[in-house]
Amino acid sequence: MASARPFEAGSRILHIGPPKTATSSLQGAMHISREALAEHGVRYAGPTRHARSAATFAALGRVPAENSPRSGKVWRKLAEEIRTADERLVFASSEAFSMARAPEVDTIVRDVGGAPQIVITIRPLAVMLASSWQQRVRNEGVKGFEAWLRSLFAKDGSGVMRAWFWERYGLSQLIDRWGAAVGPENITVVVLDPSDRSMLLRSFDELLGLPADTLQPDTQNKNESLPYPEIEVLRHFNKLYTASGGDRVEWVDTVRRHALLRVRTAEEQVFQASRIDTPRWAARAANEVVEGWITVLETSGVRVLGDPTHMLVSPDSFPESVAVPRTVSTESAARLALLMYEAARDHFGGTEEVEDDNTAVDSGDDEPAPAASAQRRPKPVAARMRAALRVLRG
Amino acid sequence: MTDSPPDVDPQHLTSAFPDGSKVLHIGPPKTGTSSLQGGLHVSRDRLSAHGVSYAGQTRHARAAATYAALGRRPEDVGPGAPAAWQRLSSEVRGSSARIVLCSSEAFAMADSAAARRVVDDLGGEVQVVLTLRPMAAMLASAWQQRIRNQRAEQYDAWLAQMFAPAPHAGPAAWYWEHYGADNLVRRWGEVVGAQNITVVVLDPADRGFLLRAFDALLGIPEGTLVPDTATANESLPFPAIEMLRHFNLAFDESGGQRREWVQAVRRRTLKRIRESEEPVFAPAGIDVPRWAAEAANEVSLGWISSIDASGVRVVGDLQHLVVDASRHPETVEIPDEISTKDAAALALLLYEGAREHFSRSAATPTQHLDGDAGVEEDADEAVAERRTLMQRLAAAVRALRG
Repeated sequence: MASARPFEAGSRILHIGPPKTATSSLQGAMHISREALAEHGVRYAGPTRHARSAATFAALGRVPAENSPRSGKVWRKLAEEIRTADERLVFASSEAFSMARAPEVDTIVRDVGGAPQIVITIRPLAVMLASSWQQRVRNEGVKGFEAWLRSLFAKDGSGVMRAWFWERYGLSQLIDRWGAAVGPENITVVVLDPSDRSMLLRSFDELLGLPADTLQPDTQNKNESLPYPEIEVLRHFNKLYTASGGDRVEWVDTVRRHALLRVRTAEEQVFQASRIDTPRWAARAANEVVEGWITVLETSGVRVLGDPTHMLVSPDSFPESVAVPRTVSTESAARLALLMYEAARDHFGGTEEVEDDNTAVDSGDDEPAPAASAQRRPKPVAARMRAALRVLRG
Repeated sequence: MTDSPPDVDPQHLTSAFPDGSKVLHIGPPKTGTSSLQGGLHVSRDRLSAHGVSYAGQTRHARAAATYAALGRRPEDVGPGAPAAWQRLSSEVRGSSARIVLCSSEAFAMADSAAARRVVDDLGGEVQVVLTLRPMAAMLASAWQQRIRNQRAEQYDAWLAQMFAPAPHAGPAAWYWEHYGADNLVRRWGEVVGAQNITVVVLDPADRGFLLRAFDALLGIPEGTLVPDTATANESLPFPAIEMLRHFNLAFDESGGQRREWVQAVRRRTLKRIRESEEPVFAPAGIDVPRWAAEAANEVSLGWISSIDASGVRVVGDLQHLVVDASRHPETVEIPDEISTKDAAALALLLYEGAREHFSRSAATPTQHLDGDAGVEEDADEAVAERRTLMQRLAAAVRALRG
């Protein structure tokens, strides 16, 4: 593959994801390579690996209930850093930007000083489905994988898939929205090569005009995925938690920010993650969507790195159907339960760590939670019970 | 209350204790004690109409009895226990009821000196009642009780230890010494005399036998004692117990404290499960393997001959202490998997236990726990409210399962 032409000096570059396209790997590499980047006149904006809550605020134009009320301030600081950077290039990355709708896209573009370069990373859609669903369950989701897939690919009367997922993950929608604000010629799409893991960092070395191998992989980047049976336990946990009237903010504070974060940061991997297979019908449906994306890449005037056909998969390599695990090892279930227990203990016992930007919550493929309000206290028990009974009967 | 003798001879099961008797039921655990205590508690009014007083205000004055039996207050029993025993024992001692009865399986933990003190505290002349079930039928629940008390031994390893050749060591030695029927009869016989000991042998085929036997012993009409419908289902299915066992192991590995476990897991999570109106988990017993049933029968035969020789009164059929070992499975498989739904339900109950405990620990006085078995029945309105929550949660579990 020929080397990609680097961005022109003075460019402000926003990488907008979407999620599940190796964004954590890229952000980790940027963060640990800051010094090397600086030597070559590239600034990675923000102090952390990932300024998630700031980008979430920018993309939504408000703070979701579970995020820090300081997010707006953090975004204004980040935007100012991007706007005023005097390095050759300044680069910011967050998959949260992919949530932005047209008005917020305009605001983001204006906040960072106008006319940024937009980079979109993309992987085979069929391969992203299982991790996107897992992400959904890790965000209090209750739908099983198959049901979630069905709702994803369901078409309305005019044959359009309306799931919110597509606004965020749909490559053509992303190109539409961001292209309208910055012009398609200022969008670069990096199609990752499933057979070459080094392609991601190599492409960004090239795009940023860096010598080969300047960006080094972040070895601290931990796998946060759970095996399928454990994900099913979490899903049923969410279902019961919701049905008994559990509070969303509490769930985020305990389960998401504590228990699930500890799965990711555990010294030893407590859970041996296994791949969740996607059924063949969904791989086919994903390929159909991707065919549309390929046409958009060819006709929209965006710059493309990598081979667009890498977004397609061979459906024959996907199993006809996928059995949902009904049981889990008692030992593993107990370890998961202990994480939940400790999350409640540390949260309510007041020993939890303070929230930082890295623990801000990604809404996944979900409609983001409503804005924070003064009413953050859990409802009284009686009200929780009435709500739970309505859910159960409904 | 009346001082007149009963006008109905309830049963030909046995004769009633003489008027003025102070009756002490000492268990041991896993012999229908909760059913009996629940039956006595809900029948207080009817009992008193027949001149019988059930000492204490609750189903079971566990903390008081634990303190009395051990002669000290274990870490997880509240500081009020000595005063509670004072009150309970003086209630029995000063009772003017025709018959006053006090019941706790915790008394079975008493050594000779403590048994003597208990009897003295109760006024010196006491009728002691033991309830007995086949050893083989008690094994699975005895092991389960250990797991419900933060232990983590594997079932088969524990069974092997229980029936290892004497001399026993560790938990097995303690168990046989304190709960073996032969030792109980000997120990308490030395204090009150064999003629003042009554052994009630439960009938595995007749669940109503226990209350009927006490109707007879207390000289009240048959049917006076009615079952306590709120009596809880203690048992968890084997996979859930295995998950709890692994939880205990992981809790311990992570440096968790005993006191915290007792208060959050035991007093909250397990209590909610126990007290749920309908079972959170589909009820399922844990089988006892044939070799253990046979070994337990050997033990039971030893009990039978020492009871026969002791001269104590026996209500029911001692042969009921022996089971048909051929009906026990050759081997019992230990589940290493649990359904994802049951796992989620237990995980949420553990989460809720920690949440309730830690969000209230600053606001409410610390609650304390007994030594070996069961949970105190102290009334606590806030806890009652939470119980309702857990009952609704149980409904959610059932809805999910269905």
